[in-house]
Amino acid sequence: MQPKTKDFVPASDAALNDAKVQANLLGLYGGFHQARIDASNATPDWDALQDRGRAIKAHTINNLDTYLQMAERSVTAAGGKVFFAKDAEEAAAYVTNLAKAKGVKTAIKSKSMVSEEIGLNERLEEIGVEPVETDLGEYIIQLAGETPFHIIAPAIHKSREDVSDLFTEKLNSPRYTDIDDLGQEARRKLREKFVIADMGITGANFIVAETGTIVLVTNEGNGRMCTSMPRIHVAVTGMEKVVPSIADMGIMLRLLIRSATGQRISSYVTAVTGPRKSDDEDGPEEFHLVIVDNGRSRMLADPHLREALYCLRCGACLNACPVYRKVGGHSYGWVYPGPIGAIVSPMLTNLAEGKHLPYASSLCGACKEACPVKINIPRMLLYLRRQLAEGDNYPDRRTSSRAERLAMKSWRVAMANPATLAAASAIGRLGQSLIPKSARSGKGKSPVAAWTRHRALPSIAAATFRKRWKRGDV
Amino acid sequence: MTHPSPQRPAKASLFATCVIDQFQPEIGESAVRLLRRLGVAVDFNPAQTCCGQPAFNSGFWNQAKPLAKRVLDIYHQSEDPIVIPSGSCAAMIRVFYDELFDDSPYDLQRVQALKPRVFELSEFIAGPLAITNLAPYADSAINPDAPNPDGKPSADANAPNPDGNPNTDANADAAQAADDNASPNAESNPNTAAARAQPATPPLSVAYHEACHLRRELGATDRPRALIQSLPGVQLVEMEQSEVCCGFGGAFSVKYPEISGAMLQDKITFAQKSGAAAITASDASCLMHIGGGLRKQAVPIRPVHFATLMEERLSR
Repeated sequence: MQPKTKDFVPASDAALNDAKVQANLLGLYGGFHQARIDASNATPDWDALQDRGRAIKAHTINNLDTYLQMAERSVTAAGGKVFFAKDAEEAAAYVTNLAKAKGVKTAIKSKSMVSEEIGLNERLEEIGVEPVETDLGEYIIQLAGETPFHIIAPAIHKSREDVSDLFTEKLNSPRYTDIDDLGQEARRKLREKFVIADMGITGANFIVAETGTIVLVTNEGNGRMCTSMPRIHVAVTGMEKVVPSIADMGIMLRLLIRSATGQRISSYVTAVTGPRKSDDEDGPEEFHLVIVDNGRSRMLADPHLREALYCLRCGACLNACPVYRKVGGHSYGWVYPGPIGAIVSPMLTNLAEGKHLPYASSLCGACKEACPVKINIPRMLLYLRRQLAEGDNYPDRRTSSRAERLAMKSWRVAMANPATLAAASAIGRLGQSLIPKSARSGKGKSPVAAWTRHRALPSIAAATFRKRWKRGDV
Repeated sequence: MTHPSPQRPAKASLFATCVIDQFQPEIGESAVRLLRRLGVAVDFNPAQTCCGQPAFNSGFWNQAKPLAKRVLDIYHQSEDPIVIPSGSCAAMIRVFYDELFDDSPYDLQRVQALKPRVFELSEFIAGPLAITNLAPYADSAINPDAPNPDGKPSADANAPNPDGNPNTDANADAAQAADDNASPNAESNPNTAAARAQPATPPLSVAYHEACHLRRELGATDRPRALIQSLPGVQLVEMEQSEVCCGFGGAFSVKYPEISGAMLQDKITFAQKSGAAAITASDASCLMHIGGGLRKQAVPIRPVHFATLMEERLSR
C-alpha cells in the first residue's frame, strides 16, 4: 500500500469536518473501549496476565531468530512451505508467482493487515486473479475501494446507510436497510466465491514455533472457510507474530480477544498445522506461510523501538486514543493507524514523510493504559520525536525546520535562569499587548488565530509568582 | 506511587512550575496558603525556572537537558520534599528524567536521589501528610480557643482574609488573574460574597478532570477525588469521560489546533452535561486550556485549580 502519511494534516482536517465519520467514531468509547475495560475488570489477575503476555512477547522478540527457525522447521515437518520475505515486493511476488504457477483464478481472503501492507490485492488483480475479501468489514471497504479504517473493524466509519448504498451500487442488490438483510446479502455473494476459489489467503494472529501451527481469531467463520475450502492456503504475516509454544495461547488469546472486542473468546479460533494429512477428510493440498519483515528488522535493531513488535494488533490503543477517536484511521495514511500506527507506520515506510504521526498525540498515555501487553507507546513517540527534532543518533532523520530549532533554543535560553526568564517575561507581556484583536478572536491564518479559534488566549500575569513571593504577598 | 513517610514533614519546598509562575500565580499562592494551613512551612527557591518538559515533549532533548540539570542542581542539596501543583511537571521529574538522562549515569543517579522527594500536591497531602479528610482544616471547623488538631501554627489560622479570596489586595495583576479564572456569570455562582452571606448556601458542584500525567504516569485517580469530596461546601459531580485528555498536550495544541479543539469541545460538552458550576484539576495547563475554551464560548463554568479550590473552601 502506497503510504500517504505525509498528508496527515489535510486528511485529519477532512475527517474532523466529515459529520458522518464523526458520528460513526462516537460509538468507539462506549463500544469497543468500554467492552475492553469491562472484560479486563472481569478477568481475575488481569494485570498478572498482562505481565505474563508481555514477558512471552519480550522473550520471543529477543530470541526471534531462534523461534523463526523453529517455526520454519515445524511448518516444514508438517508438510507446509515457509518463505521469508524481506520486503513487501518479495512477499507479494511469492504469492503471485504461486498463484500463476498453480493456475489460480479466484483467491478468497480472510482479514490480514499484512496483506494490505504488501498491497497484495492489487498485485493479484494485475495477474488476473480475483481477490475477494470475505471478512464483512473488509468486503465492504473492498467494494468501496478504500483502505481499513481500524485494525479490527475496518469499515467502522461506514453507517448502515452507507453500506446499503454501496451494495445497491456495486452488487446491484435490492435496497436493504436492515443490518441482518445486508449481512445475508454479503453472505449470499460470498458463498459463490467460497465454492469456486482455488486459493485461500489469511493472516495469522500467532505462529506457534514448536508445532508450526498458525492461529486465527475471527468472528464470522470466514477465516475457517479460507483455510479449509480452497486447494491452496497461504498465510501471510509479520515476523513478530511468532510465539514459542501452544501453551502460550492460553495467555495470548485471553489478552488479544478481551482487548480487541471485549469477548471472552471470539466466535472462531482456528488453529491450522500444515496442509491436509492423508487421513484428513478435507483441507488444502498445499500450505504456504509467508513471514514478512518489510522494515520490522529496523525496529528489532533499535532497543528503543523493539517493544513495538510486541503488538498483538488488538486495536485497543486506537479505541482508547482521543486523537484516533477524532481523526479516524484514514488520516494516518497507511495500514496501521492510531497510537501504535504512529510508531509502526513511519518505521515501516518512511519516518521523514510520516513525521506528523509521532507528534499527533497529546501524550495522554491512554494507549499505554489500554495495551494488553503494556507497550509504552508514549515513550516511543517521544523517542521518534527526538530523532525528528534533533536527529540524535540518526542525523538523517532530522526533519525539524530551522525556525522550530531556533524557537526551542530561544525558549531554553529564556528559561536558563531567573534573570533571563524575567526579561523574556517582559518581552512576552509587551508582545501579548501587540496581538491584534482579530488574531485574539481566532480570525486569520496566524498560529495565534489557530489557537484562539477554539480557546481564549491566556495572558502573562503582571506580577509573576516569584515576584509576589519576593514582595511577601504570600 | 506511595512514599514511606516515617515522619510527617514540617517543611516543603514549592516548585511553582513555569505555567503557574508566569500565567496563574494565584494558584501558587493558594498552594502556599493551603500547605501552611495543613501545618507545613513552605519555602520557595527563586532559582527555579522550568522542568524542561516543553522541549522534552517536542523532541528537543538537548534543550531540555540543561533545564532538567538545573532542577537537579537546585534541589539536590536540600532534604525537604518538593511539592509541585502539577501532575505533569511531577511526572516529568519522577518518570521522564529517567529517559532524558538515560545516557548520563551521573545525572541519572541524582535523579534517583531526587525522585522520592518529589510529590504532586494531592499526592503530598494524601501521602506524607496522610490527610484524607480536609474538613477539619477548615476555618469554620477550628475553634480558636481549643488546641488545633495537628499542631497547626495558630498564626496561619488567622491569616486568611475574611472572604477567602487570595487576591484581596486587588492589585492590577490579581484582578487580571481573577478575571482569567472568573466565571463569566459571577452573579449565578454560589461562590460570591452575596451567596456566601446566606446561611444555607448550596454546595459548590465541582467536576473533576483527571489530568493525564497525574492519572497515568503517577497513578493517582481516587485520592484527588477523595480530597475534593472531603471539602466542606463542595459537591463532587462525576463528569462523563473525566479521564479523557482535554486536548492540550503542550505543543500538540499549537501544532494540531483543530484536533486539539475537537477534543476540547468534548470536554466542554461533558462539563456542561455534568451540571457542575466549576471544573477542577491538578494542572494549571489543562485548566488554562479548558478555561480558554469555556471563556471563548462564554460557558458559565469556573475552571479552578484544586489548590485554589481547597484553600478557598477551607478558608470560609
